[in-house]
Amino acid sequence: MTSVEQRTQQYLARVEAENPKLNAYLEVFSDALGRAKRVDEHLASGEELPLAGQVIAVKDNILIEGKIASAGSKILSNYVAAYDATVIKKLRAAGAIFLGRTNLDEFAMGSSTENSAFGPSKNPHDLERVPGGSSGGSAAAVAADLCTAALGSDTGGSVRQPASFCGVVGVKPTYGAVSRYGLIALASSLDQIGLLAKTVGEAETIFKVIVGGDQMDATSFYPSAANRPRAKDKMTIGVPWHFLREGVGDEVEENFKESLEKLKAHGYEIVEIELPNIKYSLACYYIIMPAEASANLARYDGMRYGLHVEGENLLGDYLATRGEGFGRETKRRIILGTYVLSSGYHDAYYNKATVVRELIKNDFAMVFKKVDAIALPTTPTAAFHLGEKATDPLAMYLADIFTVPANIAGTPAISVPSGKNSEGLPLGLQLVAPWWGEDIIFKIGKDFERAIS
Amino acid sequence: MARLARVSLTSEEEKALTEDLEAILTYVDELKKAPVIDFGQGRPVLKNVWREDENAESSKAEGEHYKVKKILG
Repeated sequence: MTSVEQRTQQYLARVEAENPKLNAYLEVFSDALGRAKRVDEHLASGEELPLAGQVIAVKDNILIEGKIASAGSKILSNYVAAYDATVIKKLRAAGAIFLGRTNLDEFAMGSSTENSAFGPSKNPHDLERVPGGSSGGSAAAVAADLCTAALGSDTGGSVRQPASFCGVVGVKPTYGAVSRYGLIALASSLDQIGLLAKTVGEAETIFKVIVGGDQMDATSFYPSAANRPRAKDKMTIGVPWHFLREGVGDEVEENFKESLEKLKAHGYEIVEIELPNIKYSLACYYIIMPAEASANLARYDGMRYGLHVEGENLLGDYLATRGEGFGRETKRRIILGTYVLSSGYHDAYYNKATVVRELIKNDFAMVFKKVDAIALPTTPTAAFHLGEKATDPLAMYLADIFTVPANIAGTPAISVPSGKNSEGLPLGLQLVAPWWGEDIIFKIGKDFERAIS
Repeated sequence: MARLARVSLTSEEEKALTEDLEAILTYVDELKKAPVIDFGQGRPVLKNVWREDENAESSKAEGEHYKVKKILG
């Protein structure tokens, strides 16, 4: 059996060879080998470590004490984390090795990693195409076998969409299931730390280590097994066909239908469902997310963190630091968020969006009385070309149309590879379960993997 | 609005962002078509899990004002 140290060494060699063309990692940690050696020593002394041998890549908006956490932004390019995120602590205690930090769209705002201040990552299946985003570096690293699994964060699809584009498994847990302590905040009522892995089983193993309530995150909570929706032997999966008509590509639709046939052949019952307000999810998202982002990003004022640019007076310092430190998409969302929260517009936009959010949640709650899970394609198309949508923000936002509803509702969701299109690009099947129903999507996901292999 | 958001913009950025924001705001206007539903107790909101704010300076209250250290000379 290879030791953790040897395994880490192999991955380091792979990263050195492959990363220059992918730009998946922003930094590889020099202490990874030393830590691997210590894990080997623990194992030799008889300790049981559930994640020994996992060599994990960490999205660069999750804090590791003593390491830079840039969030893909110029404004934090020299920011060194002062403490470990709760997920980092839990993974380390379980024997996982952190190989490095991965690229992302600035502050996790984007669907392609093209918004990173450190250049885009590339899709390992086609270097001319994006890996998706915002956890694009993590997805590319898993797909190219530059790690065993990776951490990401999912605010509107940022784990599932790149997982689908890169042909790997992506899990967004129930809102609150995994502590957000130490995650650089984008939109706090939507953000959730998630996982990218090669198989559903592997994602489940890691999920079990990071799940659970945490004193450092008042929104975190996970009920006991008896109080969670259970995975049954016979399950029913609902498909909101009406929502798919909103603009899904032909090949994606065909692949999705084939996926449903495979689930049917595996004993699942497939039924049509209606989620009358799901069509408002993306509009709702593009009010709530920027509103929260504009508040969360107010802390980058040139005083407390990272970059500082001198202005004529204090206000000048703020304007200049933020003007220079933030990229185009970040500015766009901060200004949009400031606008929808401003006096006179607050009711029409932000308050309206919070009401519609409840309608969408209610739609899900009603449907989950009839079905155990919901199936959707993860994305409307396969990975697009670099630059294809870079100048049209709305077109870029639409890449998240099928992933955003789970964030708005707070439900868990998974993207599982479902084959490739005619150009050889991966596609993904998305499964959404009721709140705290991770066990359900893991079971269906594993059955689906078996069905397509 | 950019000033309120404390972000300086170049004139080129200002032009591009104005167009982008118009397009995005037109899209999110879709929400106006969403049904209006009374949930019974007014507007539904997320539950506040934080404790109520307490003012640590309350011992220094003088009528409606708080005494604090001078910040700017």
